[in-house]
Amino acid sequence: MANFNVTLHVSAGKGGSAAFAATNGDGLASNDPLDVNGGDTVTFICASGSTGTAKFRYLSIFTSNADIDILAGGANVVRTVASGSLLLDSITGLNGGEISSDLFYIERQASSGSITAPTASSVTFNNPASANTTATVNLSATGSGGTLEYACEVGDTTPDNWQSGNTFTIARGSSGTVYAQARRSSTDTSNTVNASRPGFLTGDTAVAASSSNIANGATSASTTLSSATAGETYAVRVNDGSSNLATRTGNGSLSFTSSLPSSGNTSTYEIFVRRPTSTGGDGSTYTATNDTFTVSMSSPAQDTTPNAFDLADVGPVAAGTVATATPVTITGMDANCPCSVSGQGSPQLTVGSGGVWTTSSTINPNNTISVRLTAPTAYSSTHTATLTIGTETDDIIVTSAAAPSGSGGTGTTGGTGSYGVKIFDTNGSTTVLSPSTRYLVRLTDPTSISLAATTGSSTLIAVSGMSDLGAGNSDLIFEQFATVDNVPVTRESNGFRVTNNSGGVFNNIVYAVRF
Amino acid sequence: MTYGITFETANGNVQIDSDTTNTGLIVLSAVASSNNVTFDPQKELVFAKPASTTYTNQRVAIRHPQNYGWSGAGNFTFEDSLGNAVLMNYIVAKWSNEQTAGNSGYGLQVYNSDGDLAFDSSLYTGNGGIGIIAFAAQQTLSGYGSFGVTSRMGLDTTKYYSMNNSYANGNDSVFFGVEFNKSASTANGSGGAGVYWLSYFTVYSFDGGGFGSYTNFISNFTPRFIAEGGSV
Repeated sequence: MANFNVTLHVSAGKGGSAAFAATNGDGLASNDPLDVNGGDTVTFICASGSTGTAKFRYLSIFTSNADIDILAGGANVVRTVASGSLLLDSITGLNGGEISSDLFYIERQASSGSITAPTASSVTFNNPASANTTATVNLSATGSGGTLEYACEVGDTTPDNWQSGNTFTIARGSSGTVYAQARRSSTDTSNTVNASRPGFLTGDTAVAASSSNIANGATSASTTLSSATAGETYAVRVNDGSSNLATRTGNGSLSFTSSLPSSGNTSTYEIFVRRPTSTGGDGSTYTATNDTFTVSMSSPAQDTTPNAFDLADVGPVAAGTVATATPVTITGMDANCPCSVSGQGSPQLTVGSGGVWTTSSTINPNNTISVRLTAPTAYSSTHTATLTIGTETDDIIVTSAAAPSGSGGTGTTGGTGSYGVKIFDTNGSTTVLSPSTRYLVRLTDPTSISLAATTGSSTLIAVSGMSDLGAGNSDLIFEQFATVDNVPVTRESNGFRVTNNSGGVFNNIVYAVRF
Repeated sequence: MTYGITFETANGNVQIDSDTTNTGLIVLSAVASSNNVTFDPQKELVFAKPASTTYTNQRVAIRHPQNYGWSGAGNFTFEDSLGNAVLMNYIVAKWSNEQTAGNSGYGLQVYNSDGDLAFDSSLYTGNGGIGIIAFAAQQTLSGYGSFGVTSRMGLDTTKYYSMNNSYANGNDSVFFGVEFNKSASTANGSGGAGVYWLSYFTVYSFDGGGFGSYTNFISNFTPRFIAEGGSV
């Protein structure tokens, strides 16, 4: 059995008022009556501070339904609820002068055993793009008797916000559990069901961001967002990053000044999105869209103008033969530079030690370059080739050798020049030595050489008495046949140096000649 | 120079210089239309040109005698890159200090400071002289032959070209020799008429990728000379 208090506040005099206060708040409206059962007691109280007589009228569900008048400060009156069927009744409270009245509602529940509690099956939610969701308490059995009511609250394992409707407004949250139950009476309550509280919605990831190129040294970059959702906030971050570089709402341009790529490099950035609370987001968390874009910063301007260079002229060389200039190293630039050669004698160039001859190529800083061209077929003539590297040029002049000597011209007959010595063969007419002859003589005895396989190993074939050794007047002759082309002969002030770059041991017999 | 003699021509070419000359070159023989030559590569030089005047393109190199060991004289044959014998006009010249000084009682003998015979006019015995009219220094010819002009030694196919250090073995995959080309055509990259140094060897392979080959062109390992014989 339970006891409930019903208090009536009254004030005396014309214009006074009457107002109920109930023990648990129920009873002040017809749709929220005070539920009582047979045998329950209800204590009628004249509120302290009342200045008039509290009068309770039209009682009908008590064992004694006589009117009750309680003077201010008077003793409370206790009545017992009579047994019976379900009955909704009202009590009228009056002030002393009966000037103002109020209604109190009280409902007697059906007799025990005639009410069947409902069975709750679940609590479900809709998922609107808004801050609040609607929870629906679902039943698998509705029960019978009494009044079907529902309760649903967040975090309260015994919800008691009873109402006749089965839907409730639940605010989205990052955590928590929603509990719900139903009942037919205060003692005929269903099981409790629960579900996770609806979480916040994330932003729309269907956004596109444009890539861009920026100049070397630029201090900012930008991207333009398209397909963004109005009202949502978008942020630029380094790909998979955690710090916003810049933000904006909806479509449009986003500029940022930090985490820019370095010169000559490209960086990848990612768009993150934040949904506002008005459309179901938490208003603070950015989520990755996986939509990326790039920003490329151009390389610094490079110097492709080499220092002035000079390939030495060549010659005199035999008429009609190919002459090769001594390679020079090209400096003064910090990037590849185009190079080409043109002019007389079908000139070609080669870069580095690759041995590839062509009319144009590119050259790296501090690499070597050489030019070759065919000498004129006429004696004592020149061919000029122009080597161009970037904006720099150099002319290489190849001079063909003079006629053999004297006035002998082609050398097919004894010369008539005034210099030199003429010696006749035994027939007295054939010249075996004449001013027309370019005579081949040996400068050194044949010498055996053996060069180690180590690249650069070398030996000097010393020559005495002749200091003007040049490609036009002297060379080394190798007696034995060899199939290598990387054992170069160079000339020094006192002889010839043979260098072995073949990668293998090099043996031969060699002697120097002049001509 | 404190003793001896020096002869220089008008343009400074040295004919005889007893101060620097170790030895001069004396013609031993001048032979027409032969496909072989006997000489000692350690003491003698051979200069040759095709005996025929009707060829268009003639490759030629010397093929070593079988089991030749780079010691003493050998009988070398003139062959093209396919192993065909080639008739050549040739001149054999020998360094004078490899010979015994003559004692004919006239002419000119020059000795250097070591006492070596630098020149001996008496060693010329009717075969004429030998004069160098052009040359290509070591490793200045590409070895591409008449393909382009990078390996051209001269334009005159009637001159004698040094044959020492050439090589043929009857197999077209290896050839180090001289290409006399009388065709003026420059089609297909040809350098046209002239005499070229042609040197290459081809490497063949057969592996999981199938049969393959590549050809290496070798620049002239020793200088090449163009000579004039007879009355010089």
